[in-house]
Amino acid sequence: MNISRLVDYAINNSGVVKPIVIPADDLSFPALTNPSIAEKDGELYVCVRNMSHTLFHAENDRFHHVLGKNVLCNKENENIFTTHNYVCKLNSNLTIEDYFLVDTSANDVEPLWQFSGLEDARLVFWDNKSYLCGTRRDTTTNGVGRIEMSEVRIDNDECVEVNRVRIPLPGTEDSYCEKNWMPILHMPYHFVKWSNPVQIVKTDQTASYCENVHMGSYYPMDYDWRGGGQIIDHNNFYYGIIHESVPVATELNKRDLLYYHKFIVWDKSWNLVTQSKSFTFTDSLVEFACGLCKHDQDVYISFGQTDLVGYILKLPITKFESFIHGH
Amino acid sequence: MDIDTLTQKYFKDMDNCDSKLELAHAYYNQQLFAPASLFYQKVAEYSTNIDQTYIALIMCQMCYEKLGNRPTAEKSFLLAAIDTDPQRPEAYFLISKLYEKLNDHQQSYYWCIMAENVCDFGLHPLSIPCIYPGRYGITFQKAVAAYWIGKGKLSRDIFTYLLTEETQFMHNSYYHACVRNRQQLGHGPDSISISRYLEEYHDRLKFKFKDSDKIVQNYAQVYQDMFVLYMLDGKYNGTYLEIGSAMPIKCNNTYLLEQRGWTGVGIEFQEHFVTDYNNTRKNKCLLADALTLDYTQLIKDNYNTNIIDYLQLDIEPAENTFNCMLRIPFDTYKFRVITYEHDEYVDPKGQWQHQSQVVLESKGYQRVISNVSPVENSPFEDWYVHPELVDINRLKDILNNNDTVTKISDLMLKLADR
Repeated sequence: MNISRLVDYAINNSGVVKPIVIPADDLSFPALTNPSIAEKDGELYVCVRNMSHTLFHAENDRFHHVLGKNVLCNKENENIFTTHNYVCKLNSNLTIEDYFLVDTSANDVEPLWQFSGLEDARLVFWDNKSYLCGTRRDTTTNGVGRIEMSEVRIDNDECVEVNRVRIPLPGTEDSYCEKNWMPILHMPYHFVKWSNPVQIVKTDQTASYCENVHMGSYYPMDYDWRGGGQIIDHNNFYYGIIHESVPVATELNKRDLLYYHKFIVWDKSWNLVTQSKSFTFTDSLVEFACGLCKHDQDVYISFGQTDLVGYILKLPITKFESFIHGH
Repeated sequence: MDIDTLTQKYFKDMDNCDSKLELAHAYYNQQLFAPASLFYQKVAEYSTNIDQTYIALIMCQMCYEKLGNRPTAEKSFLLAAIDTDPQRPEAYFLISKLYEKLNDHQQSYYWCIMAENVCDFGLHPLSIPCIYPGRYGITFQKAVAAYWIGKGKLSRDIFTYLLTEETQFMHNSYYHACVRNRQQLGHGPDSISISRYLEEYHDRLKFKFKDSDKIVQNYAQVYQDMFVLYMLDGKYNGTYLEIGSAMPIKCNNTYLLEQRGWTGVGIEFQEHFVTDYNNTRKNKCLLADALTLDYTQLIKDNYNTNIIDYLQLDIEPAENTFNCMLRIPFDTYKFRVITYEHDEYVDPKGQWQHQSQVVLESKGYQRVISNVSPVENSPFEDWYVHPELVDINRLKDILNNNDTVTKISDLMLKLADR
């Protein structure tokens, strides 16, 4: 399969790609990745994940860790893999103007599972409130993951978690771990829970319930479409970015990870209109986009590389459309 | 160039390992070790240049070391580096250090042996901020590891070798560590031997003094107390300033003097010694840093004279003793007798001995005995007197102003009859 790199496309089509950098002294943990970008009142904000662990990935199968090809490396005397989040304000050059560690102290309890914190949080602004919507797995002793909405207050000198709610599953559904629900920016408290078949769920700000509001048809695909960034409304269509996790066998016949991404376009009735070809962002095999927004005449996509670095990619809307339609 | 600029350069040609390496260095220099590790690891995975691959793997290890307590990953990178170029020494050095940190000294030692047998130490140096200092670094590591795995003599011999053969190449920190370690290791079991005087030796005592026949035993390690009493003809009720007191009785230079009515002050840095001293001795010992003390004030507060009978200068290491000596107000106060510890046996350059001799002789002191040693080849002190303040005839009798090693018992005692 001929896979193109979106970063190449952006750079060659009036786009810009910027790394997200926060000074080391101000970080809780070493890895800063999987950012989520959103717009509020004409300003761009990013929520970026800060992790205690790093990903060791022997991409080319050349030099493995003694424990394998893909290894999460925490401090060896620490059992908890912790995530913190920073909310950053971007300037027009897409560099970070200000950043705040999200203060979750009012709602934190002792973690019951080894992965702690709100993971891969999507930043959304609904009803004049700011939310981080991500997966939390630390509330039960067996690591059950659910999407939580964490309401945050972003001030000039801090970002504080005001409240957090855990969204139940709709109907009689049950699962071990919910991940990557895609908030629909123009429909408060609605998410694309699954992309194929498309499943739209609705909750409220208290997460007192969760119900299915739409279930689409299944389109045969090679791989599952897993969630990505927020859903945006543009020219009477809904746009999302999803990822495909492609299993590949290594030389030693062990499973490795490979991530491709795709843009998906639905009409207003959530019928699949088109999809882009699969792409990667960079030369890395592990990438993850959990941010998509529109601002002025550009589309912004935020993505992480190998769980170690985060970027903002800006692309003129026309070029974004061209990419999707393969022009 | 900054991270943003180098990111753009990397994006322009993502398959180019040179630009990835530059970007990795930029992150590393900003102390952002997680993203730095990503790009180093990419270079390691994809570069076709052995040196570049090797550098990237070493830098990956350094990133993980900075990230803290991820030794399994560090080990993986270093083993990969050794696999990549087994003849290069850097990874062996770093893995030996890593195992030292993990208290696995057998492994630490093993990798040094491997390096000695496998490495080509003449290979061109690599342009990385690696802490590998050169071949002597591996030799040093081997000496440290040898100590921990019970090879004390080997460890001592290696440190001695480093101090005699490699000092011109060595970074200061290594030199000082060698000196310190060599000093700790001493000369093995012999070096802690004590040359004790007992009353039955009195007939053999070459330098007798008033009431020397009444002394049941002395306490100093190598006759310092007997030397002081000889130079002052067995003086009673004298005064001393004891810098570096350590134990109150055993190996103490002033306990015998105190028994003869001497008074004085001890200075000691270690609290447990001070507590023990003040619980045991009549004269006091102050808990103080000899390197910062105001000696003029101390003497003013504790002595009613400008002439103190005995000054002991003995703190660790030799450099500190020298710097302490420089703080003594020799122009205001005089001392009849001085014992000065220079630890020449662990200072092959002899710099502290030489410098101390220059200073003390410039202040009018005469070196009476050099290179005092409890056994052969372990010289650690010089002894001085102020020629105007001691009996000149006694001085003539004992004068041994040469730089040969003096086994103290040979100097102080006649040979025993068969």
